[in-house]
Amino acid sequence: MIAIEDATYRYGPGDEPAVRDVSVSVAPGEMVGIVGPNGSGKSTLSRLMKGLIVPEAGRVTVDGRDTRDDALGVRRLVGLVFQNPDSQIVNSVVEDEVAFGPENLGLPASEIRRRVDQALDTVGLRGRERAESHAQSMADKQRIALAAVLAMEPRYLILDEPTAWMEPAKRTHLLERIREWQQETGGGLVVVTHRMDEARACDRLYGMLHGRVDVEGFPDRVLGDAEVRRRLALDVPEAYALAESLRAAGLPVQPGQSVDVLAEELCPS
Amino acid sequence: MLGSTPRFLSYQAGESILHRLDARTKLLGTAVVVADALIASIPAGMAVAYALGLLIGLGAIHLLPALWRTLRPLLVLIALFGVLIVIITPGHALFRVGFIVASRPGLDLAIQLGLQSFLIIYTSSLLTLTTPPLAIAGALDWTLGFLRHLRFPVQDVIAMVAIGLTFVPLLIEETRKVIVAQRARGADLGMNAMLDENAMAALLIPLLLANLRRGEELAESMDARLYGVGERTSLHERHFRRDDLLAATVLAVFTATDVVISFWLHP
Amino acid sequence: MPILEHTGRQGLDVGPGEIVSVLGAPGSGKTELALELAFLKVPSHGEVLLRGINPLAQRRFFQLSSRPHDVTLLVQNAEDQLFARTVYDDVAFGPRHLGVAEDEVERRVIAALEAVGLGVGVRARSPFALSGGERRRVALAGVLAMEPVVLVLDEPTANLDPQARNEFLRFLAPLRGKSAIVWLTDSAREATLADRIYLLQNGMLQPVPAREALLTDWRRLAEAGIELPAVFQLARALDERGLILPPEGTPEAMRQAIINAWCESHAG
Repeated sequence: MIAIEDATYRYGPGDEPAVRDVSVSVAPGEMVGIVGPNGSGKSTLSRLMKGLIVPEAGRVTVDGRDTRDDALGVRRLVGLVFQNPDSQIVNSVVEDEVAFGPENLGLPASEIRRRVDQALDTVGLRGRERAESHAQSMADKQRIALAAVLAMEPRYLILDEPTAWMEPAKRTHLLERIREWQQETGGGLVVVTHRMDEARACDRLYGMLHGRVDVEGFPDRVLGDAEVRRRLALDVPEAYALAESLRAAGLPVQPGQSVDVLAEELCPS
Repeated sequence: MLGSTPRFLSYQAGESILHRLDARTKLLGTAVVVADALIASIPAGMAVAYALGLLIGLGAIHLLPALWRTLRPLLVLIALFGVLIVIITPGHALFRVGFIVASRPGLDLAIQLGLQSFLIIYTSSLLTLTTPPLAIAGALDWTLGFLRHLRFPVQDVIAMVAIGLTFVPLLIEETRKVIVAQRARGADLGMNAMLDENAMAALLIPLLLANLRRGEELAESMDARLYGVGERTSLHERHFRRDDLLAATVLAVFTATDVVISFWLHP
Repeated sequence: MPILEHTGRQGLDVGPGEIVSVLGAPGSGKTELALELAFLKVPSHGEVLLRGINPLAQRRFFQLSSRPHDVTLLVQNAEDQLFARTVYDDVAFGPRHLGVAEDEVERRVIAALEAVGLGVGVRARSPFALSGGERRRVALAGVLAMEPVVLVLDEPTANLDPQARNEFLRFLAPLRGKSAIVWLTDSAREATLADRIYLLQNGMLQPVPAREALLTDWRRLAEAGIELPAVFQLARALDERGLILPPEGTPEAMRQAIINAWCESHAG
């Protein structure tokens, strides 16, 4: 269990707190979404959970370990994939990049090999082991960055805008693979996103605004409110807005569906 | 993206013989070629050293055209320095043009230095082209490991340099991006920009900010993956293979020939 | 006569005050085209003509560059290139560099900031203290202050959150007629806001004959890797299922057509 309890954090002594009295929990096997506009404190939350920063007030614990006393223990348990893949890839060869974390853990070569192969499998990059990491497309670099974290076999995984650089088709595919990873390992998953379709896929949502938790609850309840969607600057897929307008015109469609489902509802085949 | 990133002399993935050699072999091999170039007599010893260089180049033959294109401008520089050395070195005059005197010892020295520096640059380029920066770091660490007993943080310093090298292509890309962006809104970032404080700021501040941000994110991502916490292991267990033995033999034979020729036969 | 013309890539032209969009999938080479159109890169095929002449060919040997100053480009993520202490100085950078007199600089800066909806309040502020969307608008003001005859926009709304994106589009609208605009985008919806549309595929440009025809030409867009607006995706799916729909060119008309067609088919 990741537990943030009444945490406050500011980056500089005179700054406004980036997060203020925030409480968030993530249980193993759960997928928790964190949504909100730029600068609302989403990324600060992921840094707190990863133990990269410690709160000035309140506390953060991961499976009972306090980030203040045992930051390294927490970092072993929690994996964090950052937003910009360009500035987190440190090795010129794909498999070396994925091996970087396990190497830091001091694992034997055979175990590193196993983890590298498995992680590349999960993100669908098997066969590209010896490719040059910096020469890959942004979307593939993001998958490399994800594999590099998966190879550390974390119990919790935090993804900061995991599909920001991807085309729609690849996006869904990657999310499916991440869900599979979760089902296999029973791990906890945190997804920081501004995309409503990704938020909908979560078990629970926290909506951040100005460094505070603005709303919290099940996706249907949080996202069902148009005013909340606007306030949290959520990127609503066009299909959702379309479904709502068709529904308003009296057509028998359910809100929050993909185009294919809409077509099936209107013209059953 | 602004076209293709100039990769210059940074690592190119591949499967050539040079790629497969152990990084330590390549590092020490480079050091041996440098030594060979420095002791070689002209012309016979140097011929041996260049033959060795050529043989090494054959180990990554597909990279040679690109390497030649990158190093070509360097020849102009070497030639310019050569001319300078010919002129300023005193000694028996070969010919004179006005008050400029070309000396025989100057010509000899220029040829020697020119051949030496080209071979050294060429060989070390082959090293960085076929070896990932972090592997070079590992090899340096192995070679200079004894310094650790003197409480010198070898590994940290080497890793910092190596990661810095990894990011050179991105840095170049970033620089080109900023230049294009500022030119796109009216700045001619030519020679007169050097004198214009405002234009320099337009170039340097975005560049500095981008790199600070990148450096910070990079450090964070390495921290997040527990870099520097304990003793590191490696995916590629380093062991010398038959290829490395072969390479060492080739190096030894050429070096011995070079020494014999340069010191005894044609000193 | 077009104000700007590209003779390579099967051709592109834009008339004075006209807005032309270039629609291309990610990775189709939009940025390279943008650099060519703004005289920042020499095209590999053909040449780019401003008022019928190629200014790069007019370069004299002692000149470093003969890039025309009345063609400006808003690069991708242009807010990363802000650098001055104040918003005012940043917007003034271009005109000052040209040697424009300071009172004229002031007039241009104020006009440019007004055009992007930034008031008196922000002038003395640091650009780094603004939000991402506001900084993008400061960057746009920076290229507007050059009073360009041609303005090239490379994915001007990329990486903005939805609210900032809508705001940004709102400030582009009044620019119509002031400069000729070439707008490169991967969004079919944004492309239809232009007067004319070109499709960019494999580095080649194809004019789309009528703006209205673009969105109904599903096959062509799919081939070029462009994502259709949801309502047209739905129209295509319904079409495949046998619902007969008229070819409509705007998302709104298409939505109405779907509603009408469905009601008719369920009337009996």
